[in-house]
Amino acid sequence: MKLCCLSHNPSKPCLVLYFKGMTIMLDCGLDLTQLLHFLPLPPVPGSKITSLPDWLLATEKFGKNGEELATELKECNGRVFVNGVMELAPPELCMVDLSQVDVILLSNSASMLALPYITLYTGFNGAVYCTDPTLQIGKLYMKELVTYIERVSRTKTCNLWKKDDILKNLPLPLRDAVTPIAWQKCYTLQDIDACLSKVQVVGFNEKKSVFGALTVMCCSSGYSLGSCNWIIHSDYEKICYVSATSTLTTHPKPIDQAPLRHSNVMIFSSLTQTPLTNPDSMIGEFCVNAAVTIKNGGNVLVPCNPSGVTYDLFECLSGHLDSCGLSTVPLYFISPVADSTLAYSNIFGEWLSASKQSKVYLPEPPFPHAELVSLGRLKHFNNIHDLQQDFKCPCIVFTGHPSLRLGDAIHFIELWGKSATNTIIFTEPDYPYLDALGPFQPLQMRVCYCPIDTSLSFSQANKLIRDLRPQHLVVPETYITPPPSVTQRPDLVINSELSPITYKQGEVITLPVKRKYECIEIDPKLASSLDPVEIKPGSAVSMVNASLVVKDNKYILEPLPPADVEGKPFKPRPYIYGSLNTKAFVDTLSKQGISDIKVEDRDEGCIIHLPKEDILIQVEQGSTHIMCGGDETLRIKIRDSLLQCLQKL
Amino acid sequence: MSASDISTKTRILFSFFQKNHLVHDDTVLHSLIDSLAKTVHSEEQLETAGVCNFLRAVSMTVDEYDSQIVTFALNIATWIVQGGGRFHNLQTTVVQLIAATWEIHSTFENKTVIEALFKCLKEMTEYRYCFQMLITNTTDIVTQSLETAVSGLFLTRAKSDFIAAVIKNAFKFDDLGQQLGTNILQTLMRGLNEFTINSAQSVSDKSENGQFRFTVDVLRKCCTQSDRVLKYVVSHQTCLDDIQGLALCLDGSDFQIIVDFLFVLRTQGNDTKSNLILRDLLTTFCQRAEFYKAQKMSEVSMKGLNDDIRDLGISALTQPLEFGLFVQTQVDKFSRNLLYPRDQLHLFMRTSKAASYMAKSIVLLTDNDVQCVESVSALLSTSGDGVWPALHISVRNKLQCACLKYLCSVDVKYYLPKLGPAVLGIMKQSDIDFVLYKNCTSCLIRWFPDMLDNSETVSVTNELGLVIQLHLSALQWEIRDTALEFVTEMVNMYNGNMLVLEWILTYNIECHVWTSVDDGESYVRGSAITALHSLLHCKELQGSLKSMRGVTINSAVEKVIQVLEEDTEGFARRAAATFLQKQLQANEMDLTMIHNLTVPLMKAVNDFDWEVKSTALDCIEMLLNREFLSISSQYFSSAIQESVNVLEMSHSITEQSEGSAEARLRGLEQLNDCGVIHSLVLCLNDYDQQIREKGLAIFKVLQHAVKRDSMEKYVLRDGCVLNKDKFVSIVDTILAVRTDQFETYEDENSKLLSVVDDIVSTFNNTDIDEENIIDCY
Repeated sequence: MKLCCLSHNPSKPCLVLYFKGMTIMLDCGLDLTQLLHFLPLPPVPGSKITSLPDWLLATEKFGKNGEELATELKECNGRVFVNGVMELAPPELCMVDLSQVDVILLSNSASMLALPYITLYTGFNGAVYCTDPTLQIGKLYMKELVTYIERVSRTKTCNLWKKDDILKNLPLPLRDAVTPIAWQKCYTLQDIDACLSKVQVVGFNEKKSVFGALTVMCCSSGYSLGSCNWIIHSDYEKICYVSATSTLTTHPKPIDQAPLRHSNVMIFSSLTQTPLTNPDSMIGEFCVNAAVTIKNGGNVLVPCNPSGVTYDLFECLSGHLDSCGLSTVPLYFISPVADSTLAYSNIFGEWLSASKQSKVYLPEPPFPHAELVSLGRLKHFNNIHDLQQDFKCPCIVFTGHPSLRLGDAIHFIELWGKSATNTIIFTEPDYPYLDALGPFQPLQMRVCYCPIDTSLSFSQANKLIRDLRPQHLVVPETYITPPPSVTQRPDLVINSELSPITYKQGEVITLPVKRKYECIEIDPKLASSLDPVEIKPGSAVSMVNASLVVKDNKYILEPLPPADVEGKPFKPRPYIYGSLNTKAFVDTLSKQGISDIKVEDRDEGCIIHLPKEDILIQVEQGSTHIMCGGDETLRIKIRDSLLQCLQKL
Repeated sequence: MSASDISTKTRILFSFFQKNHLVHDDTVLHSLIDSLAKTVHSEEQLETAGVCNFLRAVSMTVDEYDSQIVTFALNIATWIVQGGGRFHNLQTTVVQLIAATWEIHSTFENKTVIEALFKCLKEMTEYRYCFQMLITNTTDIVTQSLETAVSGLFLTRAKSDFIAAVIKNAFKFDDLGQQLGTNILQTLMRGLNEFTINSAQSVSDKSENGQFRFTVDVLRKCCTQSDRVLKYVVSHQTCLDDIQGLALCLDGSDFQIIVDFLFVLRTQGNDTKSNLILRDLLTTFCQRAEFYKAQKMSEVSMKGLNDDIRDLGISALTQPLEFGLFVQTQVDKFSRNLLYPRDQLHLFMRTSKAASYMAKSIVLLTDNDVQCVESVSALLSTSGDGVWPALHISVRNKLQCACLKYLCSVDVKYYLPKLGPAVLGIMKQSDIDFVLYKNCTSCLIRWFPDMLDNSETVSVTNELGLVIQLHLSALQWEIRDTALEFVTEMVNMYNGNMLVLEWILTYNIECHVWTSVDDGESYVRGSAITALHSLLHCKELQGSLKSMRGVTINSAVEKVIQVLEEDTEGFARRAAATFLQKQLQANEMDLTMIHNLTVPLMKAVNDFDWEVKSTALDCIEMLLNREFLSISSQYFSSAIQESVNVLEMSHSITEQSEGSAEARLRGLEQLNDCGVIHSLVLCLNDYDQQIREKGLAIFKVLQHAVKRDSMEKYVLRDGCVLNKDKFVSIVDTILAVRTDQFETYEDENSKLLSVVDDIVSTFNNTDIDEENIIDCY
């Protein structure tokens, strides 16, 4: 069994598992942090960003190349950004022959954005499994991303800066861009449809066979709508893949731990990205900061994803605004997929927490945002152009993209950034907020960082591991040392008694699972011809002469073809089994005329000494040695005595 | 109900008692005695009510009566003794009752009866002629009481009160009984000496312990009550030596009893033996490293009159505080001479007990002008994170609260750069206790002008602005509420202080308060309305509210009226009613707004909440003054400013011109049209007594004014535009109400009768079904 890691970000995992001849891809997350190197795509013309100066130092540093490079790079507040078409960084796909991948298992909607890079134009011919909400919401994530990129016309592809000799001389943080040469243009809406048409949806605890060799099953992970962990079964082995998981009580169905118990291997990924903060207190801080801003007469901008924690933010914030006497403050949700995501959230009743499910049976909408929408407190729009007629300040705007390089958030920062009464509150943990704000500096508006990551914290993960008791634990390398910013916190690591096996990008590791057994079916005809002998209560054995047929990864014993039976007649031979009873053996030897017998008991068996004949018989578990100095007659006599004491088949 | 009827009913009741009828709830009996005390004022009344016969009957055959009846009789006897000369002739009956009761109950078996007996005896000792009768007839009670140990908290207390009273009054009436007093004192002091010897030899048993507690308690009480007794006790060196010896060997509650006695000794001036004892004890406890006992002794010493001992007490308290700060790091640098052994103090300060010990010490310092600011400030700064890492949160809160209370009571101006961040740090804790938060805000309010004036604390005041903003929108309503109280206090205290007002304006706190009026929690809405009133009384803040949020006084009043009318929670409505009352008092609203107020206030008179009703009535009284009784707004404002009461105003108004009278009549008409008169009539029948009383007072004034005005005279006048019939009807309505019928409602006689009726009806039903007796009281 081998595991190959294709992603450098454990929160956007992409792993390939080789097991029992199958190639299984676990998630295909797309790390979007490289977007931060690009200049934002303003949704409205005339933005300040479009008039930023070229990077003037380019000519000075790189001579001739510099002139062209200066047009690729723009400077803002001492930082350099790429002024080209947005590119995405897919996982390191060259490590794997994608045409050989048999199945892709997707855990949640945030871990599937690289799917088109894998299933299209690569010869991929396998199956893709995920839950229905993962598929639908993942599709919305992809569509939002593509729409944000496509709706602004920036067509210039910049590649000069990626050259090694130039890249290493660029200022930070651009210099630290990871293999930019491998970055690719974003896929298209058609690609999304083509790619997702291959996906098969599964329900929680529904078993799917992978070419007969393995069975895969998903169970709820409690992280987001339809998010799951995967259990990969063979007849004698069990491998669990624990991706983004949450033990907190939010809107999705709670984590189902039972199927994850007692696995041979447990592969972990996607623990919290903000180990120093508690999601509950961050939601509280988010609400309080939003209310303070509104009371100060300012507006609040919340760059967010179109699903996930955003639903909880609507719920908590509206409740807190009510309690603070701010129930008239409008909430705006702007996203190309706003209407779909709000609508989908309310129809996935079976994937929700028990309290939300119970509302569905009343029937009431499970999420309060449905009521907020009907009351007109939460208004949703596809883009800011639809918003103009119905915009009232002070207000709270939820919009994408959390990287602040795409989407309508860019416009609101430019609109509100000059006033200290307005606030931008970061809740998504994926992007370093100071880097995200880079191209907008200097900024007057208040900045609050309230990252809400409901994934397992290290202490929760350690507890889960203790409860689930896997034989072997496999975790990203970064999880066994404290985060670089807090090296003095030894509690922020996976601290298991199992000494976890670690993985990192570009590494193929061998997992210590050796297959010992295989299940074989017996053809009914053959079975009826057998005559088993009971060797101990409940266990019977029988001699079988049959032909082993291997088909679709299944093993079947069938009667020998008549031609074989006739051609090579079978000679039965006896099989000896059982363990030697020393006393019975000594008695038998006595009957054979050997009188002087000394028995010496040892831990591993016994030694029988025949001093007269100068013979030593060493009896051990599974073997008996007779040392008799070349007296063949005596050896045969002793051997026959021994055989009399054992059972035959 | 005539007096004879009451006497008849009471006689019937006492005849029941005489027949040994019992009452299931003895609180009714106390109520009966209370009512009797208020209505019966002479021996004749007692005689006709049957009380005297009852007492005589009980004293004749105490053994035949249930202990409840005997106790009741003794309680009545106590009240008769308290009546002094009024019931002089009954004293003999009382003494007979006491003697007869003692004869039967001298075994101390029935604690309730003996307790009532001691209480009665104690009262008797207070009056010279009773005291005389007492020492003539019942000296064996004193002797036997001293010899017999009793148990039970109330009985022990009653006994020690009695003996202390005997000693005190024996010294007071020295011609009659000083010998008795000195005899008792000597007996007590002998007992104390024996106990001291036994304690030193560790042979005292439990009963001796009880007797010791009794002895010291009696000594304490009589010394507290009588200087002469105190001087007598202090003059006995053996007694003082015994007290000192016991203080050294006893612990826990026994030690506390000695400390309580030492509190009495502390009042002695310089160079007395008692002061020497205090000094010796304190020094010894310190040297022995008995920290808790030293703390108690410090408390005694600090409250004494002797300066040296006070200073010693303060040092004993403050030294551990100062030393404690060096424990973690620089203990060797603490170079001062210590009252305590250095190594033991070091050990003690490293334990987690030290925190609560220090908290107690600081609480003791708070009441005194003791300069320990540096130590306490440092303790406040470190208690959150440093000195005792495993400190339980409740102990930490206790310590911080004690520090803050102390720091709030002393001058800390020069320590603000250190204290400001420390207090702010505490306020920012997410799990802060609200009592602690309140202490923080109290300190900050006191220090705030100095903090604004100090360049080193600018960052703290800036951060405080943001913290208060956050707290005004916090998730927990308690924090929002306390933050609003902080703002209110700040504005009230520093209304004219431009630095403070600028700080409030910088952080838009006035706007936050305005939004809080719509808060989801009623307590917060209430506090916001209170804060809003304070804000509107400050011109700068009022101006800012207008420019930032368009809030004028009128719109604020409209908002508050909305709360008064619509809020489902009483607390918010109370605050709204108080707001309107204060606004009316301040006379800052225009006439239209005042007219708009009338209808909501009328509704509020019938509110479910008593306080809202009461405040609304106060407002109506003011409106009546303004609209009806006053002649002009100018007169009204001057009248209010001079706090002229309604009645005085109405007198002066009758002498005003006829034209003004017409204006008043218009006012009356408006008030009537709004339903004021009707609401007032409803108030007279309110189920709440205080509302009825208040409504009645206003109504009487109204009737008085209407009578004196002879309104018809004005209405009938030529050219008067007012409707005569309508006015006749209004005046008739007002005058038709018979206020006297409401006045007798709570008459004491009625109360007595009610209690008597309740008990008698219970007795009458007793034979039918005892289980169904209803406690009517």
